[in-house]
Formats: sequence, C-alpha cells, structure tokens
Amino acid sequence: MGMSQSLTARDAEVIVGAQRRRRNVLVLSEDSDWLRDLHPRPKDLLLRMAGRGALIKLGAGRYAIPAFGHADPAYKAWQPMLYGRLAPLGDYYLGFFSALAEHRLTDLSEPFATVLVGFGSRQLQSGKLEIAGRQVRSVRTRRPVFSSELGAEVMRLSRAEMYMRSNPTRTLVDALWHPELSGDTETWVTAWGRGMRYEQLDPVAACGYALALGPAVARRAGLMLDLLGAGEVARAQLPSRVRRSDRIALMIADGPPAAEEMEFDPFWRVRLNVPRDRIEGWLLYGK
Amino acid sequence: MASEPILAVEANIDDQIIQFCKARPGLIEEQVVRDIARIVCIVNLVRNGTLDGKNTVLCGGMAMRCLDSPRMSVFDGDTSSRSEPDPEVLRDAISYEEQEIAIKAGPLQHGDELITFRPIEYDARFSELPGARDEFSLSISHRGVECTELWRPLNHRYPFPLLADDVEVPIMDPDEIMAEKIVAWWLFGHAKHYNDIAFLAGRMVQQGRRDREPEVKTLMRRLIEKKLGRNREVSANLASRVDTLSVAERRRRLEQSEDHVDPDQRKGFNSLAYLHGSRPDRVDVDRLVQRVVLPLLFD
Repeated sequence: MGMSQSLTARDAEVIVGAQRRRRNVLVLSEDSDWLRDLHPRPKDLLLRMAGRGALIKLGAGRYAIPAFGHADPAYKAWQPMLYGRLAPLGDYYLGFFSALAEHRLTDLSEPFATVLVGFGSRQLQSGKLEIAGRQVRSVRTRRPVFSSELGAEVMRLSRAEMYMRSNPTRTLVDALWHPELSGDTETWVTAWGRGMRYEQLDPVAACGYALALGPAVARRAGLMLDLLGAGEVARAQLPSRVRRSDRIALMIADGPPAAEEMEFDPFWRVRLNVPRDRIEGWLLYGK
Repeated sequence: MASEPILAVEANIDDQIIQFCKARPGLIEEQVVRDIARIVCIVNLVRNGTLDGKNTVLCGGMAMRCLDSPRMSVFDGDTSSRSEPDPEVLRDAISYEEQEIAIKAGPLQHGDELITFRPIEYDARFSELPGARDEFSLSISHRGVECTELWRPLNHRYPFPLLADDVEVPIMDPDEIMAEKIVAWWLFGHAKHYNDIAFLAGRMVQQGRRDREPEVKTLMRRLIEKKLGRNREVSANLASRVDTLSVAERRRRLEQSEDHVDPDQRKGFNSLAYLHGSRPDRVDVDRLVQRVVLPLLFD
C-alpha cells in the first residue's frame, strides 16, 4: 500500500504558502525568509516534513510538494522535480533518450532521465544523482546551445510546474552528437526514420542545430538527411566548409572505431562505422 | 457511455501499480497505466466486432503477450487486416467511454498499406498517476492475413483485478507471426524481432518439436515467401531490399546475428521492455535460432 501523508497544521501552512507563491519545488536558499515566519529553522522544518512524507526530498536543499493525499513520488510528474533540482544550477534540458520517448520517436522506455547540462556537477558526473527514484544520466557542454532558436523548449504542465526539453528535431540531431545517451543505435536511427515519416523532423532546422554542434555533427546530419531523401535540403543548408576539414567523422560517434574496410561517404566525409544497409533498414522501418 | 464497463479495477489501483513497478526495476507507472488503456481499447474492439478474427487480428507485441511472451511494447498496438479498412469506421470503433476511462482516436496517418491512429488519447479516470492522461497509437496493417486466426485469452498478466470479464482475443496464427518476424528481421534488423523469433522457436520446441514436422517446414517457407512478396509490393525501397535477400544472405542474417543486430547492450539501455522476467540471455536466444530456426528454413 502506498503511504498517504497526514499533514500537521504547520505542514499545511508550508504547502499553502508554497502554492500561493506558485512554488512546486521549495528551495531552502530562496524560500527561507517566508518559511522562517513558520519555524525559526527552515532547514529542520523541511527535513522533518520530508521525513513524514509531507515533502519529497530532491537533494541540495530542494523539496517537491507531493500530490495531495499521496506521499509517494510516483504520483508526481518527475520532470518538474528534475527542473527544480537542476535549473537553479544553470542551463539544462531533458533530451536524448528521455526526449525521444516523450516525443514518441521510440516505443521504448527507460527508468532513468537523460539530460544535457551547461554546468559542472560532481554528483551528476558520478551518475549518483536520483530524482524521485529516477537516475539522472547527463552530458555536459560548454557550447551555448540551450536557446529556443536551437530547439530547447519550455514544457508547462500547470501554473506551477514546468521543465525544459529538446524539441523533436533537436533531439534527433543530439543523437548524432551524443549517441551514448540516446539509446541503442537501432533505437535512435529508427527514430530519425519515424521523425521524417510523421513530419516531426524539420530538415532545415536540423541543419541549423547540427551546425551549432560542430562540423562532425553537421556532416553526420547531412548524410542522415541524404539517406532519408532530404539530401538536397542538407546540401543547401550546410555550408561546404563543414566538409573541408581533413578529419573524417564517424557516422556513429560511439560506434566501432574506424577501419579501412568501412564504407566512406566522400561527399559528407563520413565513415560508416555501422553498415549503410543496416542504417537504411532501421530508417525504413514502417512505424 | 457503454452499458457494461470493461474495467473492474479496485479503489487502490494506483497503489497496486506502484507496488507492481517497484518489484520490476525498469518498468514505470505511466507505462502500466498506458498499457491498461491499450488493453481496454483492444477489448472494446473485440466487443464491437472490429477485431473479429475473420478480417482483422491482433499481431505484434500484444499478440505475443497472449502467447505468454514476457516482452511488452509500451506505446504502439498492432493489428493486421485482410482488407483495407474504412478509417472513419475504425475511428468510431476505437473511441470508447465508460466511467473509469475515455479513449478517443485522433488523426490517422497513412503509411505503406498501413494506417496508424496516432495519437489515441485517453483519460484513465481510475488513476491519479502522471500517465493518467496520455496517448498511445494503434496500427492497422492491411498487407494480408494468410492463416486462420487463433483465439486466446487476453492475458494481461497483472496480479491485480483489471477487467470485468475474461476476454478472448483473435491473434494472428503464431506460425504466421513468426514468418512476419523473420521477414522483418531480414529487412529491418531490430533486436525485438530477433528476440521474438527465438521466443516463437522455443514455443515450437515446447510443442513437441513441431519445427521438425515436414508440413510445418513447408508452411513456414510458404508463409515467408508470401510475406516477402507482399513487402515487395509495398514500395520500391522495400522491393529492392527484398531483392537483395538471396538464400545465402537470409541464412547469414540469422546465423551471424551479431553482424546484424545492434550489439549496444554496453550502453545500459534495455531496448526491450519486459513485463515479467528479464531480457533472455543472448546465448539462449542465439541457440534457439541456430538449432530451431535455421533447420526449419534451410534444411
């Protein structure tokens, strides 16, 4: 049986106070002033509430308010809790595999969250951060690639609940950048085919996003669009300079290392470290 | 609203779902809620005569589940039809409402001899979990059904009360499912197809080595040729992939699956969701394909 919390009068005051302030996640450093009106030591107050199941401890002085009548975090959408934990630290968005699943670009599901962050965090790097029982897998970038122009979107679940997510096209392009967080190769390549078929993939935008992520990603995106029959768009949108580099990109960044026998695409200067036939099969899958 | 409700869940269904998921790392609550919505959709389609077995059958992951496969699909539902269905009749047939749940078919997308309703929105009123208002999809392929359907109990496999009545659903004949899976493996190369082939091969072994019966071999080979032929008609791209499948290549793709399947288990993604048990051991899967499927098709 799930635990239903019984709230004390003070617990109720804290939660009502948070709701008045449209706070879904309480942050000790930001909410201490008004919490001090209810208790001289806000930290102890929130810790005890979490111990009673009246709040959900997220770590780093952050506490989510449980769904009314239900202490179990499973009753809450986890994405806003992730937002509450990560957004104060800097740029972030829910992307890669988690975004593929949210955009229905895959039928698969995983019990962890995958994020791109623009800040350093030992806890994140160590893979030990959990939000509401969900492990957070991350990759960090120093590139300024968190803007809406580059496909990061705000998802609003309610007046108080929101989170950041990559849009479908950015999610697909990110798979060419960090496939290690995007699922098995067959999963995200199939997602490119599905994105094209269901018009969730915008080829022009994909080229723009890919350019912002570097020439190797741009060349991979060019070849991927070529394989999907949108090569003309790619050739028009991606400047020839992305192909001038002496360095040859591997199609699957985390795939097998380059070998002489692997097919080489001379236009995009990409080595197909997974055979073209296999990629075409995944892309062609009809659903 | 329907007169006789399909669902008969208990008041603490959410707690039951949470407990079920806690015992199965990898499974999340919203998957289960969506799965229940899909089950209701299928029961409704059986009840209103759309999934009738004569013209339309259940196939894919949900049919495999009725054959006791532990694998589950988490978003899409698959059916197969002998003839092209009327989409608007289908849309009405999919939409359903009772006290505990409302299901509404949204836009449909036409593929190659394939109709997909995506999204089908649902409001699982019985639940307060995050996945209670969400969506799934349903595909209806009209690439033909060759064999007589098989009626099986809809085995949802949840340990808590779910449906008001036990229901039987018409599924594609398992031999035909196997033929479709083998062809899909050759053409597209997804791990789920390979695993399903092995599961169905294991089922043949359990049925007294049906795989060794000459008529079963003949049937499987005929079904495979039929399915390849249908794929050849679907699109030029598919036709060219079918045409590159020499007998030697077909054999190679089953024999040397590691050259074909994505071997990325090292990344820590499951790829396949299992409602019960864990992903089968790759060695066992390969052994079933080597010892059952290869002789079935090539000896």
